[in-house]
Order: sequence, then C-alpha cells, then structure tokens
Amino acid sequence: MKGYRDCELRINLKEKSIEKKPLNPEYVEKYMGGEGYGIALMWDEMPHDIDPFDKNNLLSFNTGPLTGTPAPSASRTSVVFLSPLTGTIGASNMGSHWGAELKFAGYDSIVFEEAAEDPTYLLIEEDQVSLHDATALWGLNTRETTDALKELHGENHKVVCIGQSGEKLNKLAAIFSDDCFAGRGGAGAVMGQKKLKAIVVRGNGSVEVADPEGFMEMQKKAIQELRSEEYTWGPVHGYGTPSWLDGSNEYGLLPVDNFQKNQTDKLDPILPSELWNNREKFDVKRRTCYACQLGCHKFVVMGDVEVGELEYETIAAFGPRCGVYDYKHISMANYYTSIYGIDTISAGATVSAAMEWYEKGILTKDDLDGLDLKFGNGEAMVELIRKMCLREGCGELFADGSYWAGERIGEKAKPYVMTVKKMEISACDPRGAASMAISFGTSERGACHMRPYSASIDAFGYLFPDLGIEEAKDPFSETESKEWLKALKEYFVVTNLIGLCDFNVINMEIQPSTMAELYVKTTGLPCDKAELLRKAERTIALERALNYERGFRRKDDHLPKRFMNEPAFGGPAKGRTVNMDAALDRFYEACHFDAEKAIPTKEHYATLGMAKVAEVLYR
Amino acid sequence: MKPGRIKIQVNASVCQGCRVCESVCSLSHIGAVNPNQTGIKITETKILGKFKQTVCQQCIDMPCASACPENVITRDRYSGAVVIGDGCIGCGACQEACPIDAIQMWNNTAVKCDLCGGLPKCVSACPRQALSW
Repeated sequence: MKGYRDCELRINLKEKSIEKKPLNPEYVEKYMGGEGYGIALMWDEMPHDIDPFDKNNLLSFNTGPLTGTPAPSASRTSVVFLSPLTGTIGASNMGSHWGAELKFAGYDSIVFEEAAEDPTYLLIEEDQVSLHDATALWGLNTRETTDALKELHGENHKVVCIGQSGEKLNKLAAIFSDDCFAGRGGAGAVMGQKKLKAIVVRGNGSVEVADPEGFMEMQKKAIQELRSEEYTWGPVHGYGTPSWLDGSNEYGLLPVDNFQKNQTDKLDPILPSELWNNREKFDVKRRTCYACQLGCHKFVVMGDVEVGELEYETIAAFGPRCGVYDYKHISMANYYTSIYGIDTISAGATVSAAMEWYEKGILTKDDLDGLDLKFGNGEAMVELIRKMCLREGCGELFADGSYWAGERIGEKAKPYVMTVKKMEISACDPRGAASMAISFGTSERGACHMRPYSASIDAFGYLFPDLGIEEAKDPFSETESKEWLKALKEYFVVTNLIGLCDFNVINMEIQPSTMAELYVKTTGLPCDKAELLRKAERTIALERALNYERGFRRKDDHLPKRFMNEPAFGGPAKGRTVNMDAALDRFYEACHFDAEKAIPTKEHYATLGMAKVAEVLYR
Repeated sequence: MKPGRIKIQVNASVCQGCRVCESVCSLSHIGAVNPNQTGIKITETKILGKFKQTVCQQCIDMPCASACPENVITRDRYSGAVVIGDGCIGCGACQEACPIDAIQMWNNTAVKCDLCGGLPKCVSACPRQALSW
C-alpha cells in the first residue's frame, strides 16, 4: 500500500497522550482516505447524538493517498468534524503546503479526541510529536500566529491555526493555512472549543509511489487534460476564480441583494481586470498550493493592507450579494475574515440577510450600533464583518451566521434566511440551474456549491463522456433523470478522498479513468473508474447515515421558500422558480434513496457492502 | 536534444512556489517524493509571492568536482551535466564548495541536478514556464 504513509496520529488533548497506529485497512478499502476516512472514524467512534460543542466531537485532519505527490494540485487535507453551524457532518477541505508536509512527516491523518483545558498547540517534527502551551498565542490573529510559530520553530515549518473568531466559538470560524481556509461549517470553532490553537508540521520523509514510471505517465496525461481545457487554462489560470463572475452573471446565477435578483448590470467595477489594471491601487501576488498546476490563488495587496486571496465566492458574497460594487470594501471585508478567520461565503451571506432585515424594517439602527445597513453600504458591511468576527456589540447577534441570527430575531426574520441545513447558500442561484437546486439541497454538510458544481454541465453546457454525460442537459428541467448528477457528485467527492483539488474537475478536465489510474499507480491497489466512484458513494451513504441518526430527513433537503415562490429576475432563467419536490424525487431515485428517510434503501446499503450501517438505521 | 552546453534556467518572476518541480525530480530519481532528495529547491522568501529557486548551473570550472576527495563528480559527456557517480562517501565537501548551494546532503549521499540525462522533467512539469533549458 504505497502512497499512504500508513500512520494515524491520535491525540487525546485532555490526557495529553499521543499514539501512533496504522491506518484502519477497512476504511482504506471502503472509503479510500481523506474525507471518507474521517467520516468512518466519526461513525464508529463518536456517539451519534452529541452536541457539536461536546468534548467528544472527533476532529480529524485527513490527507488523501495522492497528497504530496506531483499529481495536479495534490495538496488537499480534509478536516472532518461535527459541524457546530449545521449540526450535520462537517467536512471542509483546504490546500496550501500543509497536507503534503504532513505526509512527508509520516502521517496520513491526525485525530483529536476530547478537549484541552488550556490553550495548546501541536508540534510534529518527523516522529517527534509534542503538545505545547499556547497561552502566549491565544488572542493573536491567524497571520500573527503563523509568523510567531515559524519564528519559533523554523521558516520551513507549515502551520494551520485559528484566529480570534475560532477562539470565540464563532460558528462560522474557519481553519487557516497560509491564506487557504477550511472554511465552511465552523471547523475553527471546533478547534477553539478544544483549545487547540495550531498544528505545526515539518517533515523530511518520503511519500512512496508503487509504480513511479507509470505514475509519471499518468501525471503527464492529467496535466495534458487540464491544460487542454480552454476556460480552465485561460481565464482561471490567469485571473483565478474571479473570472467566473462574468459568466455567472450572464447566465443569471449570481446572487444579488440576498438572492432578490440573480443578475446585475453594475458588475463592471468588480470584474477581475479591475484588480489587474489598477496597479497604483492593487498589487496582485501569486502563491499557489502544493503541486498546483492551475494556480487559482491571487493574493491581493491594497496599499499597505495585505488583503489575502480574493476568490469568486468571496467577491460575490461581499459584492453583488450585499449590493457593494467596489473592490475597496470587498477587500477590507476579506481582510478581516482572513485575519480573524471566518468563512467568507457565510459572512457575506449573513451581512446580506441583515441588510434585507434592515431594509424591511425588521432591524433598526438601534439594533445595529447605528450602522446604516442598506444594500450597497460598503462601509457598514466592513464594520459589521469586523464586529461579527470579534463578537463586538451588534456583531454578537450575527456571529453565528444568518440562521442563528434569524432564530434570535424571530419568525418575521426567517423568510430572508438563505440557508440549507443552517448553512448559507453560496454564490450560485439555483433558479438558473435546476441541478444546483439539488446540489445545494442534498449536500450532506449544508448548502455547498462543490457537491457538485453541476452548473458547469446544465447551465454552461459542458459534457463529460468519460463519466457517462454525453448529451447536453436542460438547465430548467427538474423532471429529467438525475443519474448524471449522482455520478458527478460522486466524482467531486472522489477529489476529497484522494487528496486533489476540485478545480481539477470543475470544468470536466481530468477524466475519471485518468484519476483511477493515478490512484492505481500511486498505491498499487486495484481500482477502476467504477470502484473509484463506489468509494465516494459509500462515503456519501455514511454521511447520510450520520445525518439521519441526528434527525435529518427529506424536509431538510429543501431550499428556502424564496426560490420556490419568487420568479428569477433575469438571465436565461427569467421568470423561473424551483420545483424542489420533483427535483428531489428524481435525484433520490437515481441514488436509490428512500424517498422520506433520504438515505439509501436497506438493499442499497447491502450492495455497497454496508449492511451493518443499515442495521443501525433500519432497526 | 539541444546542442551545446545546457543547464536549467530560471525565470524567477513567474514562479508561484508550487514545488511540482521538486516533486517530479524526486519521484523520477528515487521513485518516491522526498523534499530533501531533489536537484531543484524552491524556498519562500520574506517577500510575499517571491520564491528562490536553487538549481545547479553545471559550472564550467566545476568547484564541486575539484572539492570531491573521491573524484566521483564528473561531467556527463552526453548531457553535459555535472553528475555524482558511484562511490560518494557523503563527506559534504561538494556541498561546501558549491557557490550557489545547489547540492543537498541526504542519508550520507550528495544529491544534485543531473538534467535527467538530457531532458529535464521539471521543465515540462512547471505550469508557469518558469523553467527552461
């Protein structure tokens, strides 16, 4: 079993004990690694009904078998936990160089049990693993923490850490690693609750590959596939993800004013070219994750403010969604979320909900420390974000996201909360792409645009023959078969298991058969395209099982009412609403789900080799 | 094959520090990825978005070869690369002699760029065309 380092690091933060043990071979065979490995651990070892802030919440950092190899963007680490934001499983992944370093140090996964009493950080230097006092770091922001730890231990050490938001158990808190974030679901708050400030890693070991020559051939093929996709290797390679703004707006997928509209004519000032062509105001630096071909990260510096990586989702969340069309305020909002460490998507979405509450008279200036929170008021947005991050003043009300703010405000606020399973919908209007309604609705971790980003297929018209998607799909039909969406979702989840970045598949670049070959050449284990997808299907089935145990059913796979009742404002989808029930029926059929329970049927669990899981669910 | 003396040339301003060159180098030479057994090395600098690339420039006067007490460092007649032959005792004299610190010591052996025998793999793997030969 090459590729893997075959070592799981177990840290009990209360006992301060450190244990190294081989990976569980059953998990590797069934779920491969990464997200799947973490979920399997949670299912087997964690009580299913605990509160996410319970000390028994199992927090794990899981790399995939390809992490650390030269396969395209083989840098990913999946952070798996019970999400304080949603109450569902939490699976959030990040790039940077940390995951590869962890593999070089000799570990595939780190699992944290229980909680420390005092601030702590973990230091891993090869086989020397130790827990240290982090009292001096507590209260520092993400970049200060990283710098302090690098100063202390060495320039080449890689750091993941939380900022003040994580310490304050902000349910939107993210985990930071060199301006890459495990953003969604509140992973940072789980670290904060465990009083775990940072993990520092340095490794000098080898990630072995079963068939180096075969691997190099497949790696070349994968690179070729990536480089031959025009859009990926054109605008995204050059401008990064902000290049999606234009297309997203044109196809009526862009959230404007908290999803009141799906298109805007004011986009020009925030097109990515504005960042590049304004050299006196903005300096764009480039720094990529480990082994990344694409290089989507564009680090923006505005005057003396090191803003951080500006992504499509961030710009859309702080920009059109809040009615703000200038980079100055979007950049400042991103700066605060970066240094204090919260999820930019949810942060922008929460502010936009607050703006709508303010405009509808549900909130007044008195509730907002005097902020005039109209759509388009960038200054007020930035100030509210800062307050949210630090739970200052009125920020306390919004610090845990729009769902929890809505709960605190009352019934009249709830229709304007744009969440699924309490997580804010990201920047893609489901009225513009029928499949995205299902992706957001049925995502196991709450509204997520990467499970899968299916608008590429039905709205933008990509095909994916190697995955069985040979004909164009209708972006406005809920009733056509969703077999293709099942396959696409599994393929997106495969990237989380194997340790590659989703951007390798978002525009159908790397083919599933190439991916399977990469896995085979790396590990030496037998696998093909079908088995690859099967591993992802098992992971999804187990995530569904855990959610089911926690009370999640079909009703929780629904979108907010706005998408069913208010017709789309513009673009090809003009006048359209979502028919969620029909969409869910088709998707559940394709996935062999029980229509009410929203989990695979007993028989289907048995076909997946998960009869034991079904016994628990169908008892 | 390119005629004349070749070496890896670097355009530092376009490197974004992904280290795929390191990874590919290590994998194709030792069959595993190890950040210390690479002929090319990318390190972060204090300036954000600027990286330092260290790779052997296949010097004409070969200070490493002069320093080697075992005389195992020679110029490959086919590729023109300065290569470490069998018999390295791991003394580290070549590393000390190298003016640009392009030789790494690992497990008592010197590691340096050998131009992959003439067709450097890091060059084709670099997504930013920061490397050429």
